[in-house]
Amino acid sequence: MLMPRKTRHRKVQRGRRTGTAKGGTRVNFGDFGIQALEPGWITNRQIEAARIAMTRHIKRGGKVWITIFPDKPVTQKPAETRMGSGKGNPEHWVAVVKPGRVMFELAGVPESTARDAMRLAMHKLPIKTRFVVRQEEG
Amino acid sequence: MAEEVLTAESRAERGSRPAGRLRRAGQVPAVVYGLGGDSVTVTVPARELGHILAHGANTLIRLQLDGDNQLTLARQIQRNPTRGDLVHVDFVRVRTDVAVTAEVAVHLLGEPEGVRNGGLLEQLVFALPIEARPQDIPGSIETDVSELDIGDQVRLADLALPAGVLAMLEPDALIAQVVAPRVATVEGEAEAAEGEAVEGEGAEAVAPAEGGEASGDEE
Repeated sequence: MLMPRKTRHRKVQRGRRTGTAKGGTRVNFGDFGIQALEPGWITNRQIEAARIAMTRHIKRGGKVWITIFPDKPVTQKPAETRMGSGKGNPEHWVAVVKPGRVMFELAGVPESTARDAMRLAMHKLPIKTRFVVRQEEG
Repeated sequence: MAEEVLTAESRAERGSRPAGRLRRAGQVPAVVYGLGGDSVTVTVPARELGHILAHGANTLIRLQLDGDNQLTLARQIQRNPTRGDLVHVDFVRVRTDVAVTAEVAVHLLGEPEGVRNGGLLEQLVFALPIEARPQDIPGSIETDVSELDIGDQVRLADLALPAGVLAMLEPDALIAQVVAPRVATVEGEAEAAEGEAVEGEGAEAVAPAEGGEASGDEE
């Protein structure tokens, strides 16, 4: 699963997810993409589940790009623990996604196959998304 | 490329709130600059500009501003990432006798022989940077790839560029290629390897990480 090789800090603050994505809002590598319509945290397990759903559906041929990376550690306190005693332990990794961000791209398959594959992948994600097709400005 | 006429009005108010009011009123804030002239802030009607840009981002625009005609090209076209509305546009003044740089879409035509044999067509350059006089900028550059077999490549030198158009990449730059299909791995093995990686995952991320991109190659 995707995760950083090393990090500067073991734990980070949660941050805010206001506004829209500043970059990565267009399909750059492939022909089709999944675009986020809401802000959210996408865990590395969800990314992996979406990728597997797509690659299994397209079977052979085609190429998948993952254009987000889960570089933010999320901590959790153990169950049935009293509050206090500091921040919990890092449990998983998430990618912070804002509306407009293209998260997955796909090439080398017909559009109908890409739509079906990406529909399956969208069901693995915790936010509203949509299928987008590469568009050149001009 | 054909020339379109667009009426602009100069705008005095600056800042995000006046710009937001303009956008809600169906206008797009824009700026005109270039050719050593002053930078002028203007507004243009969003609907008309959208129609012009639908013909291509390199469409020559004759901007009518305060009784003055200026030949411009739209650059830095900013859109809302989800709605696709125009947010802001730069208009760069151009002269018909001076070459400018532009990016032109590269379209591949036909289904390659190699794809029919199970290969995968990879396009590496989607927008080709070129230098040409504004009226010579083509809408797109098309090339037929139906003869390509697995392992064949299209390089920049293979593209037929219109007269007066100079590409800004090396002649041997790779535009597209047909590659062999991926080798499928046994899914059980792949998942077992993943399971080990998860168990080994500590707070300090020592498990092998896949590349950020193109990690979909192994299944």
